[in-house]
Amino acid sequence: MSAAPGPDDGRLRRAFLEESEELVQKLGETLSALEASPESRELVNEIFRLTHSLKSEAALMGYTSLSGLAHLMEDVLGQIRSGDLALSRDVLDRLVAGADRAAVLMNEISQSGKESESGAEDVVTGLSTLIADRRRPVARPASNGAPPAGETADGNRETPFNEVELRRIAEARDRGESLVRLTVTVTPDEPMKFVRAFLVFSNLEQAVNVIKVVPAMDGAPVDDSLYGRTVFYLTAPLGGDTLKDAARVDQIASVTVEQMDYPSGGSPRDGSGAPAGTEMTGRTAPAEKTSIRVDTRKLDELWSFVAELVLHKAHMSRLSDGVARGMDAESIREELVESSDSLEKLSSGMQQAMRDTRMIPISIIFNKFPRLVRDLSRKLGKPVDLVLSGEDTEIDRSIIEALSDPLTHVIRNSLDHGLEFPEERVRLGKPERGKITVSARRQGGTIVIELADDGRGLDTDRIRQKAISLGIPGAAALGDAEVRELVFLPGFSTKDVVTDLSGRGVGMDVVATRIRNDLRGDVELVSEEGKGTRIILRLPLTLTIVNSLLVADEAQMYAIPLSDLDSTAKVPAAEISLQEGGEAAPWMGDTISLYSLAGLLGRERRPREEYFAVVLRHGESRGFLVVDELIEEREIVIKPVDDLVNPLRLFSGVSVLDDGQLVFILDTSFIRRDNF
Amino acid sequence: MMKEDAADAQGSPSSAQGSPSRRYVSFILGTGRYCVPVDQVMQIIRPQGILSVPKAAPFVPGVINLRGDVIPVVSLRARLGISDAQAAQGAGGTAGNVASRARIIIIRMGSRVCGLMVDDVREIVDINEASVQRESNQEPGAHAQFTGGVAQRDGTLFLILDLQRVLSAGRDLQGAAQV
Amino acid sequence: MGATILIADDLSFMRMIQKEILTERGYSVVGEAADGIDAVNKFQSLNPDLVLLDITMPNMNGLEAMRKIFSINPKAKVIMCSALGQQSLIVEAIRAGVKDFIVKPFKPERILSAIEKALRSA
Repeated sequence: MSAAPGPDDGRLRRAFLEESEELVQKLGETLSALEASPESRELVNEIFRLTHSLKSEAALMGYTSLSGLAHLMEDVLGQIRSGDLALSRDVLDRLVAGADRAAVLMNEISQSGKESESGAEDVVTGLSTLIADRRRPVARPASNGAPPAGETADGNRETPFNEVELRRIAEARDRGESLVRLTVTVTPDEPMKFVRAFLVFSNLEQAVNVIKVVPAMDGAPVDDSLYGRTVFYLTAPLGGDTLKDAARVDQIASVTVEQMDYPSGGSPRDGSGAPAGTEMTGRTAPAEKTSIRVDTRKLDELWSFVAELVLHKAHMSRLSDGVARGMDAESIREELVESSDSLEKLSSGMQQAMRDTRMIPISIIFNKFPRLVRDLSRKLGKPVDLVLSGEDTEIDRSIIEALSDPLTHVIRNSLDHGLEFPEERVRLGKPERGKITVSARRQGGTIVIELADDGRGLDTDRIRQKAISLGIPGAAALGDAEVRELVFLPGFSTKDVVTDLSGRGVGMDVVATRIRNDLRGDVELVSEEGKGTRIILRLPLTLTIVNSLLVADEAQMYAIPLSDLDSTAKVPAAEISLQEGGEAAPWMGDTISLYSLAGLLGRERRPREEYFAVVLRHGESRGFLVVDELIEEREIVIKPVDDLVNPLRLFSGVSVLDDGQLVFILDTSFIRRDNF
Repeated sequence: MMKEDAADAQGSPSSAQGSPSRRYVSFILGTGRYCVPVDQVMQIIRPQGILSVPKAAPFVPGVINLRGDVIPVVSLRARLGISDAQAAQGAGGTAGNVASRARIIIIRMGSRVCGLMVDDVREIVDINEASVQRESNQEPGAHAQFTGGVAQRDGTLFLILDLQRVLSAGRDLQGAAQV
Repeated sequence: MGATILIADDLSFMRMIQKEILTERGYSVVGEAADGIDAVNKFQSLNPDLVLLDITMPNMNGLEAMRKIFSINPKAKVIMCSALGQQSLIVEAIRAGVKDFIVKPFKPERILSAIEKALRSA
């Protein structure tokens, strides 16, 4: 620990002195009070807090004697609180001696800034012997008898899984998840290793499927030193940051993520051959692969499209032969029109098929719910049955992330506020066990997800009153359905919505925003007071994911949807001419308008000899858009952008890339001369 | 009715007169003290990482990335037309200045989320509905157009911001933007 | 980004030190609480990005305050400050959802790295 602070810490020192002196004084006083009434639990607690605070403050300022003394006293008091040590006259005397000694040290510090290192031995011994007798045994064997993990993390060493674990692994494999071994080491001088590892465990449990932990973590903590290195076997969909985030705990020195082979009888590994093992310390990301599992039926469908393409290609080549041989213009035109039609169908069919390969069953999210409900139900003391249906309804991969939170939140809400306690339910004539149902189905071009509980339902009158009191105009005249909608407004606490008191339902409006804005969907509430609540989410099937071309203007990236592009091109400056409505340049035998991204954004175009450009397409019109750089094609998720940012409607949305960069998506409907 | 309900920390505690009062977060702009309802305030952050967007409204210095959502930042000074010459004491310089007390108040209005850049954020106040004067004979200009009322509390005048007007992106913006 | 933090500790001295460490790093300490009830209230009204919560406080200890905070916002980011040797308390806190814990007395780097990691996590 550092020596006493120097003169420039004057302010800190003064604050420390002020507070600590008061602590010491209170300590003395409270101890006297305790002498007078030794049965008082309150006084014991108070002294415990005082010594605890004193210990922390002194330690921070580097006064080890004082801090050590306070620590000892705190330990003694801790044992008194837990009933392990009786508060006898003798014990009290030793505590008082400790407090006196603390006062002396405090005095020294306030006078000279230093504490005497010695002189307190008997006081210290007096206190430490009290606890030494009672210290719990530290070493206990690991509870499940499994051998600890081996020294080096070598690729495919088999680990014995029991039958239950093997079954869970098989189920996970069918869901498309990978088996991963995550090894976590705690920094060597961290005194509470078990708890650190437990923190990682707790984070993992909430996000993925933990199959097995070595050393085990069920029940009482054992020998702390065993947890310096903990191995988690889990299954999870590959990719994403979940594993990284879970292990992002203070005092975790290193994390190793290895994808494993499925145990004997497993299907061939996804992705490439060797396991993806990487060291991760602190910030650097593990090399998690972005491979996915795809239903072979979908691949077959794609294959048939490819086959058609091949036929199409053959047709085109026959056609060009025909032209060479002098086929008449009319026949050529007919063939071309037919060709272009079928190509159109083919390409949209393929796009859809490709999109389908991105679809996965919603069971990925649903599978987390049984555990969530089980844990919460246990915690709250409300037995609940969870019924899931429609788990194989497929949704796009990218919505999975965005949906998980809102759904989880709604379920939590049902359990927390919606469902009554079993005694009340019985009194109301309801079955003792509450029921929550979650279902998903496809309805035309939308996915409909419903979450229902048979709890209290919404108290529409109460919501209306609250609305009136909040000054929401016209609240009194709102119909029941509209009143229920109000729940989604910020400012409404779930407490007002359901006849119970607890917390602020800060989530409902967030859920609504998530669904409405991010996912371009809709939320509806149906409820019957006393009977239950149903929340209906509707999400469009085709998403706001757009395949785009990223371009740059002055180091800032912008995106152009591929559907708005015809092609890319290079335009020599010499070919640019000035026409009536603006600039133009030749393209495919025509002269089309030329715009520059810089100009749209209000800047001067940087003169070059040859410009990079894209050929924009809007219906029949074509136009050049000159940019600084053409970057790459990328699929991006489009989020809406507020009108304040986009008053001229230059952009149709914005996307946040993985690295946090913002990319605005250009609205290319400006290909008209007058807008320039 | 509502008055009998136990007040929660975020709800509407009734005042002695029996009319509801609302809680507001107050802040400084120039020499004036303004406020917005606390239940519309999501967060208060330091101005950092504002990405300017070409051709945005003139009072929008840019956007920020708030946990994955792209939020516009509105300079309330610019919006309300308060010149720099009226800078209050204690309000710092540019956003990059560490000593600056400028903050961005993230507010939510319906499904819109926006950041309001202010000179300094102050305390949370309870304002009784009854004490709000709608027809203000205050100085004309900025206040009248963008405030929905004025209230007095402990000798200080609080101007209640009309978020709807502040954030309206009407036709007038088009003209302004092309300047 | 300048994340907002609420500091809850019954010792004003502790709060001062924590506030200095955090502010220097660019975090914005939007509130301080001296007991559990105050901590919960301030959490509700200020909605900070993260809460630093001491486990032993008067008028509602840290564990209870934390549970209340989670019932307000299940996704709240809470870092618990505790003393050495309160293992079972910490385990309980983790079960309830605390993001991380710091053992007192702490070094500034420790608290900063814990906060950074907690803020970055989902």
